[in-house]
Amino acid sequence: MSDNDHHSPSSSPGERAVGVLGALVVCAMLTVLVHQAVTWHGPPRLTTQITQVQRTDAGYAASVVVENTGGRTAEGVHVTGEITRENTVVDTASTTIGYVPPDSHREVALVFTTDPERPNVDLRVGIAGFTPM
Amino acid sequence: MNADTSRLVKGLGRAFGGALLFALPLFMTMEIWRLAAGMDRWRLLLLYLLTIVLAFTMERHLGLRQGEPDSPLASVVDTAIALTAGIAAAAVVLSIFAVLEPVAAWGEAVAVVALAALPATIGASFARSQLGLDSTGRASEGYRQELFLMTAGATVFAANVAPTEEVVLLAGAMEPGHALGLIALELVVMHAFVYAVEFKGGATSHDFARVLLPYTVVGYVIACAVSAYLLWSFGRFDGTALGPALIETLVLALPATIGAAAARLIV
Repeated sequence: MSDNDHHSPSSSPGERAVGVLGALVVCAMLTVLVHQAVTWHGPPRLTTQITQVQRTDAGYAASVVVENTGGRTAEGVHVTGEITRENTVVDTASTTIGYVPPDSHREVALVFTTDPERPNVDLRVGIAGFTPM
Repeated sequence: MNADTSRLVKGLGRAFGGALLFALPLFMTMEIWRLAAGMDRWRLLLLYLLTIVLAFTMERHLGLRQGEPDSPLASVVDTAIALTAGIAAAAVVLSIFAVLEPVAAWGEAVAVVALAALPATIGASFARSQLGLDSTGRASEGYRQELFLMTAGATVFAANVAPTEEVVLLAGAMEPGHALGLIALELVVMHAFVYAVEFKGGATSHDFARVLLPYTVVGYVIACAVSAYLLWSFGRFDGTALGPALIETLVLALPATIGAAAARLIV
């Protein structure tokens, strides 16, 4: 260790520049966290939307986007889907998402053996349950 | 490369390395991703503010400008550099591991990085504090500084373990007899470290007793307090009775105790 390392009188311009950059990043992070603390209220509010259906080797995969517009994270989100024909359920599928934070979304695929885009069938997806964190 | 640039690069490199050394276990722990997403935002905000305060106090009392004329501005700059290194280490590693989606889910990314920044920033401060020292001794020898150093050491070690489910599972499996054994183990470990640090050149049985209360017991209380605070921050006490919460605290206090004791060896 050189004497120069021991006795630099004060911060160099480079150190001050990095310091200012760091301070800006820290302030930005604090702003985001304060915003989240102030605006996140209420229980999870989950919505589902089917975005596309693709034929795969495993069957017909319906992509579903689950969005949480509430104020708390939903854990263990159980997503279900059913295909009905003339009010009779002909196929079901389900999956579980680890967690969906507020202001966030997750995409899952529900796999059916029946083509949900065939005429005279309806595909409905929903949330069967979750744990608010 | 001139002396200032060399010092800057060396300082940043060492801070980044210190952040990785002290926080990599946390970066690779899946619970922090979930906790960061779900934990109470006021608690996360408080934890992040305390990270900044802890980093500033470390730079002020243990930093590489120790022994130079008092300069609060230089301490602020050094704190910002340590925070930058901690945040950068967390952001880079977690992005490479595909944990973060900085563009698509930036709100989540900020929360994960803020949580991971606690041990990373303290690790960066520890590493930077070594930059201004030779190998002959610690920068600071006062009792208050010793206690502060133990707090920082307990924090960085406990922060790596606190988010894990294992703390809750271990506490759930333990009987009161195990808890008593754990307390005894933690006190013995703490006292062994304290004794080793204080009396490298030989000691008497009188010295053994002399450091028991001011260092071993007080250090252990600090480790327990840090453990309880971190568990509360992560929501581990929510809906939990006092008894199980106490055992969870004792479980986390083991790494916290080792961190508190070892910090006095490191710096």
